[in-house]
Parts: sequence; C-alpha cells; structure tokens
Amino acid sequence: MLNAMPCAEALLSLPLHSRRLTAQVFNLCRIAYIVDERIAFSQMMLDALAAVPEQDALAFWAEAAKLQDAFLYDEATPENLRARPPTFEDGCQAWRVTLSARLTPSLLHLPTRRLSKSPPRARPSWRCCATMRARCAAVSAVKGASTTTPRARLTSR
Amino acid sequence: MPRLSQVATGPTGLDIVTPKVASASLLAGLPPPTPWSERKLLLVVLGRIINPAISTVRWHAWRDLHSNPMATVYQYNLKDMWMSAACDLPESARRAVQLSECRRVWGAEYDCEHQLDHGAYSTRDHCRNFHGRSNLTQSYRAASAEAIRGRFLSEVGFKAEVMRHKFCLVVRGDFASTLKLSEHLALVGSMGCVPVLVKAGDALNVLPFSAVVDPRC
Repeated sequence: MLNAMPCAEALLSLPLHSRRLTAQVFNLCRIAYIVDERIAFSQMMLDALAAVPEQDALAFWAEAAKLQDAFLYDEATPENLRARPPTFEDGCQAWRVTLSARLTPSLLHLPTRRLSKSPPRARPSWRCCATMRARCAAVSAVKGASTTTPRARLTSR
Repeated sequence: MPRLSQVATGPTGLDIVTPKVASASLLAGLPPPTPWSERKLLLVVLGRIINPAISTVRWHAWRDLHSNPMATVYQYNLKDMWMSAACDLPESARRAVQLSECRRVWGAEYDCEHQLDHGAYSTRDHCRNFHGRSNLTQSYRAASAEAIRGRFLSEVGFKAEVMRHKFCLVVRGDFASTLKLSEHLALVGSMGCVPVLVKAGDALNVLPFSAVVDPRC
C-alpha cells in the first residue's frame, strides 16, 4: 500500500529557488511515502504505517540527510550574501514588463528570461497599477533613470 | 518562442511554478529526536483548511483523522466556518442550525445573532463553496466543539511535534505544492518524522516538484 504510486528516479534539473542548489539525483520514495488520497486517511493506512519497522526509518533518515541541502536555502552563506539582493527598481522593471505583456498581446513573444522574472498571477487592480506606477515614477525621477516607455525600451533592443 | 502562458505554468500545464524551499533556519533549535519506539504515529498539520471549491482533501483529512487516537491533528480555522455548517439543509432550517453551531463552538457569550445579521461576513453566500458537499457540513456538525476549535501550532511547537512523531502527513493546500513538503523533506534529514505525501485529485495527478523535476525512468 505504501508507495504504491509511481515513484521514479528523478533529476532536479532546475534550481528550485536557490543559486547554490546543484542538480541532484534522488528518489522520492527513499525519503518519503506517497499515498493516494482515497486511502490516505483510512484506518488501514494507519495500521500499515504502524507496522513500518525502525530499520526502514533509519534508511529514510540516512538518505534524507544526504539530500537535506536541496530543500533548504541559507541566506547567510557567503555566496548568497555576495549576490545582489533584488532592489525596488528590479520590481519596477518586472512590473513594467508584466504589465506591458498583459496589455499588449503583440509583446507576448518577449524573450523568456525577461518574462520569467515575473510570472503573472491575478490581474492587478487599477488601484494597484496606479500606486505602482507612481512609486516607480518617483524612483526613476530621483535616480535619473530613463523615462522611455516599457514598450519603447523593449522594442528598441 | 514560448508564449507567456507557457512560461507561467509548469510542463504539466496544471501547476504554478513557485519557489519552494525552506529557510535553513528551520533546523535551528530542533529538539533532540525521540526514540522511534516512543514516538506517536502520525502528525497531521493542516493549518488552514481551505476553500472546498479548490480542494476537499484537507477537509477529508480532518474529518477522518481528528478523532483517531493514532493521529495528532492541528488546524485553526474551522471555528470560523459555523455560518457554512448548515448548507446541506433547506434554507428555512439553516438559521437555527447556524446559531446553534456558533454557540456550540464560540460559547454563549459570543453574539452569534449579531455576527450572522450584521457581522463582517453577513452578506456573503456561505454556501457558495459547499454545494454538493453535504458530507462536509454533516461532519462539521457531528464533530466535537473542541475538535472544531482546533489548535494553532507555533514554529517551536511544530519542530517539537516533528521530532516526536514517526510520520507526518503532507497534504496540498491552495496549490499542488505546499511549503510543508519542503519543510518535511528537509526535517526528515534531521531524524524528523518521515513524510507521507498525499497525492490528491485527478487534476493534480503530479508528483511533488513535477514542475521542476524531470522524471528519469
């Protein structure tokens, strides 16, 4: 019953989030059980779990200890401290790109590296847009940043 | 060139790519692990039980396990759902049951009538998300007031419970991926409870991390 679901060897081919995460091969079934919703909360399931011997847990713990770093992000490591934290201007830029892409269908074919900065979630309200526009304009004015429109900037490259 | 919609969703087209790693501070202050033989069996940290229109899996976990002595269940928001506790009943009978459930869970001092008629949520259609889910409202009314009130689990309490249980259930939340997954996969490396991942729903026929994991059979 335990791990009756397909559980193949897997390769973490992309960083989950952290720059320091390197690709690691792991098998989820060696560190966790996967069960279907239809039986997950039954007494039968609890009895099956109660029958798992300590040796199995020791094997899970040993395997999981090797993979622990893959699921953690440590803000205090030197390489992460060296990385430039995102600034408010980064947020403005991502917001402009997202908003432009959302409002102008012709820009849907933007390079993915620009779009991947800001995957669209719920459509922002107009209040949100107005507030963000004002804050971004204020930052641009203070820093003397370019005032070209997002579309002009994106299409001029 | 990929389109925006393709970039925003995972390879399955079903899940949203979200950063799912736990902070390394999760391992700070972990209590020593309890010997296996002395551990309780199953830890079920449901936290917020979500809108049943999104998923009923946390509801089912709570319904089936909250009174089972082999499981330790934590949730904190069912006590706020008394207005939805009569959705399977005819409209004419709902009000009396709603008030009765409110008083049962919140106590006699709570002004249930005022909340129902003038409270912040009084104008909401409380049954909108419960259509066709009479088993949920029935199990709500059948549960003890203590089980409905639930318990909130602090971070310190969470770490302590993880180290004194053999297994911990990982149940999806609003999305297929939940931060609990990363937390438990990290904690099991420090001899925490062994994660039991619940694969829920046909629409979520994906393994954890399927948005970023390339299965290699």
